[in-house]
Amino acid sequence: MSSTASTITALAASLRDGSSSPRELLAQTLAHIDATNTRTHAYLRTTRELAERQADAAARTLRANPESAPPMCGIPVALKDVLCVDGVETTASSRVLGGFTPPYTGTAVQRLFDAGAVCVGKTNCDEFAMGSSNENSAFGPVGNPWDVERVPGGSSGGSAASVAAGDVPCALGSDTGGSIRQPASLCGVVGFKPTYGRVSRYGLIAFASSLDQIGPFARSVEDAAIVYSTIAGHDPRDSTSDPRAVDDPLLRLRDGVAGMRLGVPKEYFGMGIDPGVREAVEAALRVLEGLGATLHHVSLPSTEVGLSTYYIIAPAECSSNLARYDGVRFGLRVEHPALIDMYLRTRDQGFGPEVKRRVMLGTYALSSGYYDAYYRKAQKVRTLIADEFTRVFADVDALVSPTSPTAAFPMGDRDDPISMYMCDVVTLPVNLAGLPGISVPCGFAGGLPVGLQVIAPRFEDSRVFRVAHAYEQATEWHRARSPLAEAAA
Amino acid sequence: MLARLGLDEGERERFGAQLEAILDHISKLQQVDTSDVSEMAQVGELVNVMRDDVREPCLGAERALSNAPAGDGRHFVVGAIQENELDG
Amino acid sequence: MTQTAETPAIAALERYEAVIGLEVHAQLLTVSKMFCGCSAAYTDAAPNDNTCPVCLGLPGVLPVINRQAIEYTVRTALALECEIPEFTKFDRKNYFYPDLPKGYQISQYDTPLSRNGRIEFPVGGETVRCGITRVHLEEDTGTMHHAGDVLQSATQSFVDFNRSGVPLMEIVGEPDLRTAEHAREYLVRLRQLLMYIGVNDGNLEKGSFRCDANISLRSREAAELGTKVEVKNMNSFRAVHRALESEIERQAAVLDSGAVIQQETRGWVETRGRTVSQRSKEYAHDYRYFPEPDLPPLRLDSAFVERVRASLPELPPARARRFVDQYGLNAYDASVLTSTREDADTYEELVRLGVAAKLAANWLMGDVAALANEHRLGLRDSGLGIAGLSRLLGLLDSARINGPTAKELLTELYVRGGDPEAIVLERGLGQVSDETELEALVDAAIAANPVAATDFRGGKQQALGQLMRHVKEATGGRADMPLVNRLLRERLSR
Repeated sequence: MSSTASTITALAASLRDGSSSPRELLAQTLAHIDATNTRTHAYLRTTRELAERQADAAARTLRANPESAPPMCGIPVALKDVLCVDGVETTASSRVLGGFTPPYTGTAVQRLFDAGAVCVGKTNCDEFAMGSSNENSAFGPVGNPWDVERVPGGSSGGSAASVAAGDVPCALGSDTGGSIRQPASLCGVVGFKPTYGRVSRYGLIAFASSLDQIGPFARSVEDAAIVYSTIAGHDPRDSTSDPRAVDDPLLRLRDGVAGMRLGVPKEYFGMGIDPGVREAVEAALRVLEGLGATLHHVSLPSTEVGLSTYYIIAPAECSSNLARYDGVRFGLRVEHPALIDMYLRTRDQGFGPEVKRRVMLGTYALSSGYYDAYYRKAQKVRTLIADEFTRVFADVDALVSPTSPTAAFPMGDRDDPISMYMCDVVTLPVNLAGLPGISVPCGFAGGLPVGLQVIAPRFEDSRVFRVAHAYEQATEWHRARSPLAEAAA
Repeated sequence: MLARLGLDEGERERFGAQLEAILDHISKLQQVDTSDVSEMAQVGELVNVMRDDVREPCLGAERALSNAPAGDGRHFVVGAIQENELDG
Repeated sequence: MTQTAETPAIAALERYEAVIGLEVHAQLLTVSKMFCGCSAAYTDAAPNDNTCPVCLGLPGVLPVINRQAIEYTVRTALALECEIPEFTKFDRKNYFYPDLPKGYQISQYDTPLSRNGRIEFPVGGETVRCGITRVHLEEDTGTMHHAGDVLQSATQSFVDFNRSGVPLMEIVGEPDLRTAEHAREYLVRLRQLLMYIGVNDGNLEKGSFRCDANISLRSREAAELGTKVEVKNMNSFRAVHRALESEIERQAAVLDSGAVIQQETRGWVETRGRTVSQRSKEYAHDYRYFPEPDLPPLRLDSAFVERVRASLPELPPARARRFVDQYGLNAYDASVLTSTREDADTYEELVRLGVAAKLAANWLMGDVAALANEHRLGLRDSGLGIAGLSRLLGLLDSARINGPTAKELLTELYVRGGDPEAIVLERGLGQVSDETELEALVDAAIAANPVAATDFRGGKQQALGQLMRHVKEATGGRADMPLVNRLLRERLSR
């Protein structure tokens, strides 16, 4: 069985009934990547050697304990290039990290490896995860498998495109303002952002520390839940990781939505939403109603200022997080005898324009004389936004909305930063409040995938999966294959 | 200067205009009433997250320096520092 | 205390008042670093060996607070009588320097671990009281050395991150000090206190205890404060004293000439004996402090604070007061004996073993201190040990040996050890204090030195010395000399 048409659950079965082996699966995957990557450029590099070692180890585990081996054992995965892997070049799609090979592996990735997953490569993304189209990669853009002239979304565009192209059944991305959910929506796959603090950030190259969270891409909600439960849980190396036990999202996955109260935030249907997207999402809401959920109109009035809040807090944190790229210990150095000029040249040539814009913006927002008006103000508005969610969740179990106001747009279409920032207008409030959110395919607009976003209160990650799974199983959208996946299969 | 980005004239102009527009856009924030609202520096209620004072293995100089753009096998090496040049 | 001659700085202080505040950075004696598990013993390792992804600031790493560092800082704050607010957090202090791996230092800005403390100490008979603004916690940077002697002419710098991330406590003092002498004594006392409570090793040369000063002068006539100058690069108590004296002199000369003081940072250059301008106000940093998003805040409840308070040893000033009350020592002896915790403990152990309080004080501060210094070996770890010394002083106290014999035995046994009583018996070192025996020796001495005897009888007191020496030599130095003295006088007055 080829991984291109399959889910983790199906592949796991084939690995146990002997119809496939980790090595065979790996070979198919790498061949598939060879066929698709020239069109998508989803991978910055494949990791054949590491993958072969891992596949052989997985094969031994499966032979020894076929029943007790974790579901991820022998399953190929792709990792966004912001995730550190010992001995594997990790660049965050930035020239400033060219050639950087971490001497350690991050916690979430290590948990996947410990579960027997096979790392096939590092995926392209917006530089330092800053962007919504993957056009900010220093190593070139990523093509959307539904139309390679269009963007896959971002910043985890490569991971989303790889799953949509049928390369791998799952991949990891990171989500700071929508960077998993929005590309999942644009590529027609499932993308999940866990509750802040659920998945360790240790080993995730930081963009904005109080917003970043690692999460999975997959072709089904159940698969996303499997990957999530593999990587989630307390990590003593991440002080913001929550010590509470993670409840198994698979336990109540099939409990349905009958009797559930679902909130529909009216603000999430404004903000330049494309009519086709609105239509698809409204149809999805009717499906959920048909499954026994009740829909309730709710209001999140601070949504409009969410974007402003986000574009102060995220750049402020990033301006500090990116100070370490100075050419001293790793990565790019543009030599100059005077240290100051080495710094300036390295950072000038190492960072792309979007990164520079955000570093400047963040530096400004934190500088003396502007701190109160910008950073402190944004922190207060962040409180208001989080409080609004809390109030709404007193009345509803989950929120449903579009993931992105539009479907995939043509490359080069949005050269104005603000119009690009608008891509995340309904995803970033979720990061500001630290909530779990998912995007699940819910139809097409002009032949391009549309995603339904489901949001739940903090630590109710399982509820997100449950709602999304009920919807997914009631529709056929998740079975749709991108033209590129069909062609390569 | 604080961000140490080494922009040229053209970049400075282009970024200047873009930042102007972004700052104009985010100035909406000033209209929000935040009197009596506390600041949210991070999500969650965690406090007192600490580790025990226990030694763990280090990388050692060789691995520490494995990514160094310039080193002498023991140290990271950088160019001369001019007086005042790194302030701010 | 050593400054007796009138220096130009002291002369200047007749016209101006100096206003001095000190900032001390003290590394904490934790096993591991502030935010990672690397060993904090950075001087023991070859360059960059004590490093990991966290303290190298590699992409993707996160800090985790060392609980012991928090406890040591609270301990210090309590010893300095600070308030411990319930809420505290870490902040990022952003600036670029090659020895600062992340491009920011994790420090504390507006919510330090503690505030509003004080320290009191005597200077030349008066008690100086200095407020403590705050005690907070941060991480140390790496270290750099430069090819060539002078930073400015170096072409390359070499960076070592072994020190990066070592817990560093910053103790900010109020500008309550008025002379260079005050500043030096403040540092001596503060260092003593930190060592006493076991949080810092007090090594100025290696930089585990470092000091910067802020100093301004104001005219004795005018009330307004002068312009502040920051002085750095002082690596010893002597350097602090000299640097501040030199700075007082310099500022006074500038003010005398009618010019104004520039707000700036100046470095003390030992070889030139003066401070040199390093950086002026226009280059002032904007550190863009903001709350560290990678670290949840701390809420130190009163139970925790009280537990730390309970673990504090009796502090030197209180202990010295008790030594005066309990053992009848004078204030000076009490202060010397409580200057380190080990010395004070040793003293109390000796007394507990039965040595008279004053006798124990005299010997510890005198011969024992000299031997400890000579051999670089404290009494506690010496061959003789505290118990050995108590037996030796017991022999002296019960007049079984005399003073000189006790000193000889102490010197002999200090390093190699041994039972003083057994040696006294074995070598017959016991004091000769039998009156009949000594009377015979006194008679023999008078007989052998008739001229001296006549002289003494004629009123020449010094003549007695020759007679005493005779008896002393006759007993091999073991005679009870006060007794000999009495017997001689009795015999000669007849």
